Amino acid sequence: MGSIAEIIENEGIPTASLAMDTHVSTFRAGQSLQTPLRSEKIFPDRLQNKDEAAQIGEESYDFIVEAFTGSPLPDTVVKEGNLFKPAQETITFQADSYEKAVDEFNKYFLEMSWSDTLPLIAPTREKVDYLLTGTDRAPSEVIGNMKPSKGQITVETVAINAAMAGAEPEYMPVIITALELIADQPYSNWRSGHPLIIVNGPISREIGINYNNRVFGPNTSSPAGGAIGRAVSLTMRNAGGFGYGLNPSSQQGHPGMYAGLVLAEAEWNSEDFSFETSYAEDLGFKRDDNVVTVLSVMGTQAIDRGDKLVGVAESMPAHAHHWKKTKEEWGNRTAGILVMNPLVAGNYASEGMTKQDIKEYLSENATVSRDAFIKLAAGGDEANASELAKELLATYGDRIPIAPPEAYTVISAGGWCTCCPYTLMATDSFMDKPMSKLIDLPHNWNSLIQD
Amino acid sequence: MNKKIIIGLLLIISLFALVGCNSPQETSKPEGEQETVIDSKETPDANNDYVELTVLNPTSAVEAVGEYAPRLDNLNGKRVAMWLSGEGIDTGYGEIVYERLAEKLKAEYPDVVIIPYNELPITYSPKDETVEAILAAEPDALIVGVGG
Repeated sequence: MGSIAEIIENEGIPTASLAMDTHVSTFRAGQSLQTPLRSEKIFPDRLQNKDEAAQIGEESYDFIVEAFTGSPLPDTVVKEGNLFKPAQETITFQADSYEKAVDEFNKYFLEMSWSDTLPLIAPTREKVDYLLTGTDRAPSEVIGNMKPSKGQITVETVAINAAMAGAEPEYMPVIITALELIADQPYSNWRSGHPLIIVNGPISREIGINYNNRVFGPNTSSPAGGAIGRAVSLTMRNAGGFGYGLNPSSQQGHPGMYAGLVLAEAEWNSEDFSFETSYAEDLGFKRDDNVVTVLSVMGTQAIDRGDKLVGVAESMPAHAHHWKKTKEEWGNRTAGILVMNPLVAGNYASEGMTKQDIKEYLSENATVSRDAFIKLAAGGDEANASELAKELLATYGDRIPIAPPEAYTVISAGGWCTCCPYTLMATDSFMDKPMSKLIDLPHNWNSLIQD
Repeated sequence: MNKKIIIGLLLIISLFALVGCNSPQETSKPEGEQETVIDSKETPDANNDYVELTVLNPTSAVEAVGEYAPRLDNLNGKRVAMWLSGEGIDTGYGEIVYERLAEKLKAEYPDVVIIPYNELPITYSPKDETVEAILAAEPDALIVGVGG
């Protein structure tokens, strides 16, 4: 069933939605109608007391009258044929100095919610054209539709947002591929996760995506991941709204909303320091294929003691969404991603331990008590538990596994030490199946990476 | 001419081209292109002593598949219903938002008829019964909200 606003608008009755930021999706007519959002007023989650609620009622009056009697189109959008297009294709800032103009540009983008709140690089025509040299695809080509508005992501849209993020032309193939994968996914307004972008293949070393020390932070030797992740996050924000940047209704937010979460797998050739297969090979690709994989993860949990997997197993969060309704669904997803550094991965490999052994260890040891399981997976009602929950209770007794072995992913990346070699990430309930795609390189790739 | 001087001149020309320094002229744009100008100059235009920074809009076009209902010409004499998804602090004291809003609407439009939130089902997830109850109240317009 759609939102009340959508249903009632379809009945020919105008609606106006008043929504707290967290609860926008409950009321969003435009989300399903794919029409702009003039008749929706979002206000910050500041209704902590009755006086503030009364104040919102007072402030909402002008909006309500305009929503019922004015044009349903917001100022940011014009209708051309069957398309709602941005009303302003360019914005010009006139100022007394270049620095002042840049300040005004950043303030305006913040007002329009087109910003991730960090300073942006100005997406001038020249800068965007420069980024478009990183792809053979036409600027007008639509690579996907970003939800919830299903905004058409053109190659130029990507280049504009990539310019704002500080990307280089050679980052474009990874950014485009990641966005193609994300756009294919269902939208969840309630998500707490953010897409993790894993890059396999020679491209990660050619353009400098970090697989080494501080793999989840800045590394000046391999700087590409920050701008790639930021470009993806900005495009999700700006292509998915109706002329405004969209703030997903995630209640806790995610640090990845700033510069994304992008890493490359450490997959150099020394047999002493790598797993038997790369992650991309596990997914059916060849070792030298350039591949982007996307999964949504909730957060990063660093774990110390390189010789002890027990700490990893104990750190696996028991989110209720891990237990699906059926056993097939339980295994046909990724629940946890373990990133271990190449030194420790090599140590396990030299001891004859495979990735499959590690996954089985995690499945056996990342468990919850029977009582906790009934609360999380069956809402406290054992009698009305799902088919899967009943089967797990019957099979495992006192300790119930959070996920089966096949729902764990193990990849190799990170700094060269055994003191704190692991990061564990649990997936969100949305985008919890790995989606992968080969990266198309442009004809001028060699000259791009030589520059 | 010295090579360094040539490179220097090219850089200056490039910079002027980028920010339009001292000569904020209209550039040719594709037909139909819309432009917004944000003017924060403190010096008079006549001095021509300012810069322009033109950037591209980062948002997207959307294919229209639905339409909004026709809007009203006036709220006087119209029936305005208020549907609420939940009461209390968890859902933002929507009942108080609506009470104040109803007072304001009645003050400005004496003939408006308010169908208050407590005459409609208060449910978080829309159900058929919710829609049926709203339609049965025969509103001319509906406010939906507020919290989850």
